[in-house]
Amino acid sequence: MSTSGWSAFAARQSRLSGFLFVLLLLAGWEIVTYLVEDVAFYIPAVSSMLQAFGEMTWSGELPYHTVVTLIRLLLGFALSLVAAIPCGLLIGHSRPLFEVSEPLVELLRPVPAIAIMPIAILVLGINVRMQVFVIAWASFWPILLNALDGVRGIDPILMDTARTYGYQRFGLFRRIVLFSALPYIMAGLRLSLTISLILAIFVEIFMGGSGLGFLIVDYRSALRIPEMYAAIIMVAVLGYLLNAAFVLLEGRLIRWHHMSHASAG
Amino acid sequence: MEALRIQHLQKSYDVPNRESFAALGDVTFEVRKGEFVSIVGPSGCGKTTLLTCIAGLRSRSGGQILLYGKEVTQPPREMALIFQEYGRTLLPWKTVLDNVIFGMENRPEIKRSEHRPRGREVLNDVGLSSFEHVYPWQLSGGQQQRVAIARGLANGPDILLMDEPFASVDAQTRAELEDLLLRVWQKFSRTILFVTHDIDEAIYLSDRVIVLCQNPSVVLDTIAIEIERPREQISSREHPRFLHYRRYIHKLLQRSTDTGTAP
Ligand SMILES: Nc1ncnc2c1ncn2[C@@H]1O[C@H](COP(=O)(O)OP(=O)(O)OP(=O)(O)O)[C@@H](O)[C@H]1O
Ligand SMILES: [Mg+2]
Repeated sequence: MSTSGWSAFAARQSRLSGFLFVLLLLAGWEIVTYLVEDVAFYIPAVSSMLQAFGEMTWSGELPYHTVVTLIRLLLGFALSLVAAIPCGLLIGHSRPLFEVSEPLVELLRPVPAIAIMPIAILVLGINVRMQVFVIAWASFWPILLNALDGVRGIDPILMDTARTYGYQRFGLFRRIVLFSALPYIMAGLRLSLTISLILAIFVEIFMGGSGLGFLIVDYRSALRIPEMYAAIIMVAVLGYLLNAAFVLLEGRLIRWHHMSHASAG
Repeated sequence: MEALRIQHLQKSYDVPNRESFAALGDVTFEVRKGEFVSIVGPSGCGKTTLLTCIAGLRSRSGGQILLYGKEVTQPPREMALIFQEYGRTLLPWKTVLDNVIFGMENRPEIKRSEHRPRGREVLNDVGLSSFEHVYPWQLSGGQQQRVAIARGLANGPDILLMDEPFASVDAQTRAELEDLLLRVWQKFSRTILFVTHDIDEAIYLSDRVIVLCQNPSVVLDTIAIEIERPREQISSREHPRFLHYRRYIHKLLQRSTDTGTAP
């Protein structure tokens, strides 16, 4: 108990010093913008960015576009998750299926989502469906590959143990495969969540209309630089919050995994 | 009554790009109901292979395995196998008690409401009653082994197959676990087929000891152990017959490895 109390204290301390470091950088930035006049246009003072951030939040503009981006990325993420987890589990579990699909996976996996976009536009048109598809494409692969690795990495002795207790196909899958693969799947999901955010911003920058990506290009072409930075800051905040929420969920779901590994190491 | 009969069992492993490797040459023996039988043999002679074949986990290349006269084709309900790598057989996402009832959950004839009381009873038998809410990775190696044994017992199998269960614990714990095993064996009147490479352990525990030789392995001899029960760590091991059995089995294994090394 006392040791875990200590490590929690130490973790808070290091987070605090990291936070202080960011504050220090911002202060330095602020000072530089006052000293070097020309720079202030492209890299506005922190205070003017924060002012823009506040005004845009107050007017409802920033919250609106944040929610739009959030919905877009979550749609793509959810679509990829629903497709990739069952695919990964099945392909990993069945040897023939693995052998048939491996070349296809290896072929499609490196195709960047950006290269898929022209095809998506041709087939789906320029609309939300197409945007969600592109996000889902990028987010699909890490989840699929991690689920696959998770299933294939299961200790055969664990499977044999369950078999001696009479578990067969579906029983093995439900009682052993699913749980053993869960830590890997969670790692894939976490990666994909970040990728979904990147792709959501990308399609918004590319196609405009709405969302934080749209806000960034719109204010840049209007040369309202502090507002542009405010939107970029919002992207960073959104990414941070998404990851934090995910870590919280992961801690709940696979606490046994982290703890068993901590005790082994 | 005969519980298990192994007849001319053969097992070869396929090795990529080479001719297959014959682990079990021709193994024949039988185990009577309620008997404690040990199998000894040098490392790599095919003891684990033999047990996994009997448990219905591996296909065999020839011969027969009969359980109460019926051929074993898939893992039978009547047997439980305690693996050599016991630590890796416990589910890290389940507590000790949930691990113990994992086998029972797959047996429709055992009522749900009975799972926990029965699991607790067996945990008590192996001396782990205060650890039921703990996770397996929070236990020592010897404690993990007890959980694995408890899980095997809780499932109520007639026959317990054990693969070098005490190989990786210290001498003190090992003696404790040996006596524990003898107690539960008598309490539940089970049949036990016990694999070890420790000759002393085999003699101490068993009614009969089966000696296997290097691969492709065959049964060299079967020795009936006529030392009265209940056994006791010190006096039983000092029994004159104990020393006799011990010398005999050592000689047997020595001779087989001497002749076995000839090309
Ligand atoms: N899956 C496998 N493929 C090929 N060869 C194998 C396989 N499993 C075991 N063998 C070989 O079969 C032989 C017997 O192995 P086994 O694990 O049954 O020995 P063991 O008697 O249990 O040894 P130990 O006392 O070290 O546990 C060994 O020579 C081993 O190399
Ligand atoms: Mg072995």
